[in-house]
Amino acid sequence: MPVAIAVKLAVRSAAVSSDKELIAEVLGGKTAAFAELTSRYRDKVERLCRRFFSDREMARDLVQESFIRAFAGLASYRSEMAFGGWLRAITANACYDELRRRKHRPEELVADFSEPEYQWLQLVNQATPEQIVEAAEQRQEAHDLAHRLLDFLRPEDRMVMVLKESEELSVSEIAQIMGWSEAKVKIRAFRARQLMRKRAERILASRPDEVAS
Amino acid sequence: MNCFEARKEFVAYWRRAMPPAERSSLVAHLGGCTRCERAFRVFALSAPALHSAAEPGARRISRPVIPLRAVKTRGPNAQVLSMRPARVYRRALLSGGVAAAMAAIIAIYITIPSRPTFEDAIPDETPSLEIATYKPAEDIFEQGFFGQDAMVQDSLLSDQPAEARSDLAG
Repeated sequence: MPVAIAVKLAVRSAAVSSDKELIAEVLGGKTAAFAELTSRYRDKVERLCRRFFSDREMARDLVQESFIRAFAGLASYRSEMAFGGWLRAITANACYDELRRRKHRPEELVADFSEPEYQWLQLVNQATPEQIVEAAEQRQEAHDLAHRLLDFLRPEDRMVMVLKESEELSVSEIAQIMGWSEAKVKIRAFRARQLMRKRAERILASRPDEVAS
Repeated sequence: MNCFEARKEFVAYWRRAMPPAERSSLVAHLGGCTRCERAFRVFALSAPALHSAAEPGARRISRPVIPLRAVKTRGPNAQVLSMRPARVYRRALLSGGVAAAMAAIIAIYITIPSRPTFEDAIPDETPSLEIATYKPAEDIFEQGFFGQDAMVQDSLLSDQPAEARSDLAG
């Protein structure tokens, strides 16, 4: 019984420890403290990875990769920056590296899009905003099509899309994470949106021909 | 609600994280502004993957999502903006580079003197093949080839027996 109480107290004390205290412990040699950091940020890191890769296994691999990189580079962490932001930058770069490794991007084949995906695209094109928002919650194809359209983008464009729109980072924050100029981030963001719109329009325009043929 | 404010609220609207009053205000704006409505449709293409309310950590956005000047998809400037990507510049640079390379090759071809041909390398005094091989029979006789023939005949005769020599010589 006293052991259980001791464990509970230890867990509670670990839970209330700040990130910086845990990092200091890890750097001091108590590497087990990193497990607490991992458990704190695992969901956030995985969520970010899932924004880039719909494949769950791939996302989990990247979570592992991100934490390994964080552990290996913990000595370079500066306390002026929030650990979450530092870890997010590491995760974003790990995802970016993976996107660049995947040199092959899927070709745009209209026939590859399923009928529900096409219907969703038509709905986005024609329905009112209120109808779009309501329908999106119930349609898996909306999620699938969004990922497929994102897959068409270049790694740089996709990085900006995810970090800017999903992670809600500012242009300067993205520029800092990626090591780019702010102008480049703005151009990439604009270009990514343009490309997605053009892809969608092309699919919509070419689909009747496909059906007729 | 103006266009800038409306586009700032797209994420919150998508996640249904807006107060009803603001939500109705945004809906009214989208109903009357074709540019914002179009921007919202583009936003909705990626939103299911990027802005899922069910995802952990979803929070209401407080910063502008889309800079107003970056979303000119209509109007006279739309085409100009859509031609901005680096690919257009790269294509122009590539074609310019090819043209410059071709001009350089032509200039080199014109300015550098042509290489000497095989005919130029032959000295003038060298007789032509026809002159070198042509030897009229009279010249050969004058050069004393008969004498050499006589010497060859003598050497041939010397290898023969005495009877044969007398027959051949006779």
